[in-house]
Amino acid sequence: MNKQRYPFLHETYCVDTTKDGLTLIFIEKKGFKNSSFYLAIPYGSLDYRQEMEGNVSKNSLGIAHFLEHQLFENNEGMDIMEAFSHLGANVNAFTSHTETVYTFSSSKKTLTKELNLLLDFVQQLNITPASVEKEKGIIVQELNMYMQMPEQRLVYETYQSLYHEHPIRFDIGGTEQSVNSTRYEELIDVFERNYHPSRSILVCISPLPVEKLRAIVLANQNAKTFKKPLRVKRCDYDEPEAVHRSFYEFNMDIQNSKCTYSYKLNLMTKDNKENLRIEWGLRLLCELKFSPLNPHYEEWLKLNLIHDYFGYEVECNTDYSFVLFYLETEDHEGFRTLIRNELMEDISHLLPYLDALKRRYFSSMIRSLDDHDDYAVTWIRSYFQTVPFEYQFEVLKTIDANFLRELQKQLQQSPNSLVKMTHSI
Amino acid sequence: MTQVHIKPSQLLLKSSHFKDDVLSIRYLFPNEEPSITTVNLLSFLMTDRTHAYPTKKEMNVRMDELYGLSIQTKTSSIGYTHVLEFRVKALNQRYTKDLDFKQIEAFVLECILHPLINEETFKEACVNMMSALERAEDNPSLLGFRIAAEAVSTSEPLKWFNQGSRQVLSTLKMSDVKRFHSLMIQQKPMIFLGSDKDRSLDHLFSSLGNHEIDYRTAYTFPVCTLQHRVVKKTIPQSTLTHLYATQIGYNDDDYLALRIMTIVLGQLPSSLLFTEIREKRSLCYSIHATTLNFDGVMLIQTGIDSLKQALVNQLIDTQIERLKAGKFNTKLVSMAKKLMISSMETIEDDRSSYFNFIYQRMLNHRDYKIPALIKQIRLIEKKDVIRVAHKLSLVSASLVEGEQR
Repeated sequence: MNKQRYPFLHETYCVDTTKDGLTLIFIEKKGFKNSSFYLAIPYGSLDYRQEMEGNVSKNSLGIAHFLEHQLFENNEGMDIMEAFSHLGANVNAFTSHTETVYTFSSSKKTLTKELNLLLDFVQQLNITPASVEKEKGIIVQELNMYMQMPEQRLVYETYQSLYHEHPIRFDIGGTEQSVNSTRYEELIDVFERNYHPSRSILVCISPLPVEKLRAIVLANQNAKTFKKPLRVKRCDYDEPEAVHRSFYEFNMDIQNSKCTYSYKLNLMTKDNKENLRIEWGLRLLCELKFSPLNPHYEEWLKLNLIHDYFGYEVECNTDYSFVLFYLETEDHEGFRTLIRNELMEDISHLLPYLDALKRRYFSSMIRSLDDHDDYAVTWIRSYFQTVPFEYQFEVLKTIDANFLRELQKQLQQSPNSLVKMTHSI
Repeated sequence: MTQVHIKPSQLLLKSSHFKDDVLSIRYLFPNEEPSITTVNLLSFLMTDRTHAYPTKKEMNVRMDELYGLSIQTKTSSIGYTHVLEFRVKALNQRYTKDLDFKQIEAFVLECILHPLINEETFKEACVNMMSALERAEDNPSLLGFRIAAEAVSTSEPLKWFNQGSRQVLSTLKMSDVKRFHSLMIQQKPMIFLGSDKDRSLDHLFSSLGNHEIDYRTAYTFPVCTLQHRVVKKTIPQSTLTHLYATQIGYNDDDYLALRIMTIVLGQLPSSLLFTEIREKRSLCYSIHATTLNFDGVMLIQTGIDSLKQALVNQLIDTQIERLKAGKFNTKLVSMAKKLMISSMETIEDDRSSYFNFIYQRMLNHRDYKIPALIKQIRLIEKKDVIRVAHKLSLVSASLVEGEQR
């Protein structure tokens, strides 16, 4: 077991690997009452098409999310969620674009049964054709629930506008049609391809002694045998540089119209450290230009060009990256003009605030380590993206004015798209 | 975590494992209009600009100088009382030697005592609050709850939305807000601090008001004739809401049994509603029961296909009858107790939740010692759950009706 100490964070991590390759991260959180455990697999909604030994398998959209639901089926008579409840623990799971995470938390001092249950239910699929059929109605209602949320729907339509081919344009849960056409055999197939310990990571955040937790995990894993892992990878997509729709308008039963104005960037690299740097650079650039730090901001407010429902989102990954601005407004052209004009303005007058802004973000990152979920998800994503965890805290130091200017130039030249969600009359 | 009572209206929670210090200052108001809307509007102004920092930029720059200090205002209801919380989070001094608590204290006092209220800031706050209230109407769960509550409330606080009213907002004047603020700062607030040091809050305390306020808090909603309401919306799902008078108040002996009954009914993966409506029949993704502790009300909500509403209504009624008849496994009661005890045991991990818990208990003149509460939870039995279920009375049902699919 490798122990790493980060004095500047006041944190210590222990890293280990089981005989079948499951990576273990132990974070001892003295003083806290709750223990939280996260077992993560790098299989998300973007992986519905995968390459394996030269063959491409295309599964139903939303299959990773469907599989997440099915993992909770049947623990030889007792539903998994019920089994955790019996132990006084809370269990949950989520599927994102790039990973599926199963988690439980408990305040107990001994967690042998709970940890074994987590490792067992995620490492062994126990479903039937009937359980697959039963889950379809539930997932369709889940998709409907998201689709009636104005923000979710707006983001969905924005991705549809930006991308032609890339699967980010689809909802993580798929569509009603894809859910209803998902097959039992398909779920077994994707489970066997992806849910191998050598592809997974277990993050343990707990006040309990690391050695005690480690012994439970190793005993569980040493007693199991797994098939040889398969070499699978997400398919690449031939995504054009241009946006799919430069303007799209749709109607929704809401009180006020909302817009997004987004830039599709071609900045991503195969190096995730660099992607993280670009993402933070874009975030700093947007915060300098589109927050109260910019003297123009108060002018925009006075002129009613913006109000407090105004902001931005930034993402930069290996195969897609974008900056998305949003605003509640009827005047979509005014919104577009505001963003475009501001992006053309030189940033020199805002640079005196850069260091203080970095300090704000650094402080917020440190504070997020008190939140078990935030902490674990940052670890999981760093691990899957092969970016050292501590780089999350160092990246801000690598960003300077020249880098921001470079990013601004790229942003100015990038294809963009406007989506307007109009309110019903 | 060590609790250190400094003064009657000051509470220090001392702990060395958090990465930030949390300061929470709370004021009380009557939970009725136009006070609710005025408090909410004031809450927008208190975090916006001040006399010493008269632009948004100066406010932001100051907060960045204080290492990304975060300030937030939050309003909530405790029965007949409406609470305004001013919450500050600051990076712990372990991470920076430059940050002095006195600087934070000075900034907090500036925001509370001297918010900039002029034509410009007032107008902006009104615009922001109006759009926030309009957005709230786009949330089917909130809309469903509001129309169910408004259908049966006459003079009870449940009648009001604790985030304010569009109608009242449109009539408010700047002078109303200024006058309200002047009264507020005369009030003696409750101050909570979560920190790793024995900090004195005396300066902060003496700089704020000293007028003691004691409002009525929890009540029990009366039983009344069942009301039905339907609102149609062009959305893909329908939201069904059932509102029950529990006839059990926050200070009643049966209060904890009511909480356990609600968990058995609709908060566990094996709860009656979840099992019968989601797991056995795939009629919904989420269904839950929850209590509004200070109003004596229980709420059931679910998102369904509108064509299935009659069936779901019937299934909900059946589960309530099962509770009353004791036709459920005793294991469910034991699981519910475990869940509630676990959430009590871990509440200190989130200081904001812990402050809320202590504050609510204090306002209702209840002991807030966790072990004593856990002891009471352990004593609850199936017969207690059956007894409280018999008191449930459905008073209102609403449907935010989506498109038929």
